[in-house]
Amino acid sequence: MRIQMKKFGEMLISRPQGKDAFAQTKAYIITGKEKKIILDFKGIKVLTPSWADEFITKLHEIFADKLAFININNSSVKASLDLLKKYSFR
Amino acid sequence: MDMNNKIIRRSLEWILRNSGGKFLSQNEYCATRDVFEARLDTLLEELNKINISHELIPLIIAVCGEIGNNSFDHNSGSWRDIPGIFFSSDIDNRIIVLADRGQGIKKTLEKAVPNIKTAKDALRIAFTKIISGRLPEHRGNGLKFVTEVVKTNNLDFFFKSGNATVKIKRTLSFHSAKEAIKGCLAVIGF
Repeated sequence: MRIQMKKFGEMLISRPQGKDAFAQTKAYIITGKEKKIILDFKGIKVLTPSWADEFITKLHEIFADKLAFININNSSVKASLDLLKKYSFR
Repeated sequence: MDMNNKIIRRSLEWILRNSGGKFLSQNEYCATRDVFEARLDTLLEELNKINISHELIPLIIAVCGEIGNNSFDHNSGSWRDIPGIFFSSDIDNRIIVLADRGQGIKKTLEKAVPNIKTAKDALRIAFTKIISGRLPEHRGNGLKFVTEVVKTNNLDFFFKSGNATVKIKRTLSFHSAKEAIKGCLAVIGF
């Protein structure tokens, strides 16, 4: 399953927003049994590690290695994902 | 980075006042997260118009976002008097300033790390350890992000809380200051 991150906005900044995005995703988009989840960052202007921690870290807790990222050319997307991989993904 | 810059002096004036209300203009003050995020959007547009690496712009905005996030995350319901933050930029002089009249780093971190002796110790923990002032929520990587982005992209960064400061260029250095502030002040030079 591919999730277009732009559906949550182009500027993914605050923790409450990230939390809300995760709640929506968990309730209405994913079942937890998907074989692969692809997060598509096309069109994202800014991603902070705070938003990413509330959304991506929590997805990673469910899907681990089944979680993949595409269109990560944006420098803030790259930097935030690198930080999560280093300090948040277990 | 010129610490006598007018917006730095303005933010310090606001932090040091006995009362924070009725001082800042609408252009300087973000009472809520929504206002702050709208202003981040505006800053993104302003940076896109100037001669600056387009790779750097999202990182600058993300750093501002993290600093502002911390102010709102850690002071909700605990602001000294008025909620919200000072957020202003001097594009010509390549400076962005954020400040709050919140609890300050030491008081915030004491919830997770009791017996922190000094403001300088608190800053050292905040900028170098993954510890949150809002345990058991998993947090604490925002200031590490700021540190790594500043160091890797040759930005300038200054942060003050209590009577301690941290400066980041290629390395971090922590200092004690003569004058203490309540709350936090961050200056980003690009």
